Amino acid sequence: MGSPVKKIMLCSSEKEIFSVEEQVMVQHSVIINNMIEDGSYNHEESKIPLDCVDSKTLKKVIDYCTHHTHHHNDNQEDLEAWDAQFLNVDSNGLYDLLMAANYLEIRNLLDLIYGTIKNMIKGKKIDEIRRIFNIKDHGFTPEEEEQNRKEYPHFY
Amino acid sequence: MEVIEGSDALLTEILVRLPLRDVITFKRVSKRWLSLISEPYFSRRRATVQGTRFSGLIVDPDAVNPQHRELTFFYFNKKIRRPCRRRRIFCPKVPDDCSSMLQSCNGLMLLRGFGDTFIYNPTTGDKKRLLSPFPLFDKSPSSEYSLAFDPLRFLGYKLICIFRGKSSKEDGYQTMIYSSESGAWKQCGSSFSAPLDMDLAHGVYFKDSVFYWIGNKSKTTLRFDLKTECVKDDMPPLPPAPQDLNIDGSSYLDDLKRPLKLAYNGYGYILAPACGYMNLVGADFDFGMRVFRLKEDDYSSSRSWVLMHSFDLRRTTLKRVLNTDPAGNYSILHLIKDGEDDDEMALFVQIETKVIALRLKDHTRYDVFDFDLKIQKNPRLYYSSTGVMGWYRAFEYVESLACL
Repeated sequence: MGSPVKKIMLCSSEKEIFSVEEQVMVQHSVIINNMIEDGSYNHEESKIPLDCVDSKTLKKVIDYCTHHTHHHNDNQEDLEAWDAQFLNVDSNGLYDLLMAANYLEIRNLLDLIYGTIKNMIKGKKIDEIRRIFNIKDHGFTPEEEEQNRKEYPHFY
Repeated sequence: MEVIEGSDALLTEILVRLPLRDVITFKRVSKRWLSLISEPYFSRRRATVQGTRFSGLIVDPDAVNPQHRELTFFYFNKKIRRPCRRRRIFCPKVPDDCSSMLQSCNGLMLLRGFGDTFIYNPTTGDKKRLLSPFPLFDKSPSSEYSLAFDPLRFLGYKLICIFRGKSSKEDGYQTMIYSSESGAWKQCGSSFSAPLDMDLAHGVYFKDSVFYWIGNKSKTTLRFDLKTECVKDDMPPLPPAPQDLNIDGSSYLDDLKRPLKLAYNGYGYILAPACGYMNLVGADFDFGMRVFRLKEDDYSSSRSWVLMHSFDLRRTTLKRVLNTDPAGNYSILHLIKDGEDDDEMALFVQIETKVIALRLKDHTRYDVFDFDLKIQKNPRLYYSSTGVMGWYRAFEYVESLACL
């Protein structure tokens, strides 16, 4: 039997405690890696409070990190399929994940989310973009807007 | 999605991942998007995230006859070089009403149209006519312009106008400076004198906010300091040409065969910034090439041209290619960093329709580009400027989303 797997405690905004393998979080989150390295986390008593991450999102983040730690040798296609399934959430869910990944500095997850949003707007027309982001006031004068529409009708 | 739209940082992170075509379209989504995309940070972040520096060379195959113009473009990066001809990859264009390209500087270009001069962004296609520094009633003296655009060092762009003073007392040249931040021209410092052969039409911007001009015959270089806003004559003289060391060697008749050779005293130099240094490429219009680098002595702060490479093109791997052209013509187009080390550079040489990179370190070569078939019909066109003179028809393209 090997040495027991070291665990750390994460605490969501609802004060729910999640116990995760230390290695999983250290590998993915810059913030947690720093906390462990500089000794500010005490394995006996500390919990890492994540006040801006709710339980549902935190569970997903942990799922992501765990899967990518244990399956990093899988072939690229399988990983991408898993990622696609993982990000099959509504736009609120996507936003919550983005904020959590941003807060914990999980770079691959951030890249994955940014890339997903990028794909949602890639090749779109300006009117569609304004609808997606609900931009009511574009800030151009009516003359500028008219000029743009006349000059670049295929953009709209 | 609205929340993401509300954060400059998050929105930027998404937009920098888009292909250039979308970025240019999305500048018109809103004023806010426009300003985010136009930030110098945006271009830098985009280059980091996408892992490529989108830069290349715009070549004017025939700078002498603008009506036969067929501009060609290729990327330096081998991976994106080929698909450039397909539509998927963005390809910069130069507007139809451009009669000659004067200068390219970190993503903006100075172009001459039929009648006026303008600033142009080849990435966005935006162009802006140059505001004349002279009042309308003033029949302005002949003047030359140079452009400085360096988003890592200063905001906006600057222009220098050099013209001959009109009053008989002041015989020298005068300078005016324009900054896009202030939107106005202003006269700078005192007048200066320059040797007659000083090539004020081809200003070269280089870091530390300085312009350089070169006089091949008088072997002098002048520089304009953007901080003190005056011309300084504190550059070391150009190194002597090999034949100056051995004067008996050259004959007058030999010079007549090549008028350019006469004009440049048989030896031509061009200023070639690369690898964060100012370099000097010298060619004797036969096959002898030398590359120098401007080095500053830390203790005395005196500058000097240090010889880095000296070689005969026929003794490099270009030998076989050179032999395919009976006249042995070649044209030097550009000097780029090639490798991790600051000493590793490659010289772009055009021979017939091929652009070939010659690595200066070991004289190996690799093919960079082959001109289109259409141009091949008239191969004489390329050699309207041989040797280092080819330099002035090749312009570096750098992706920039800067506003004008």
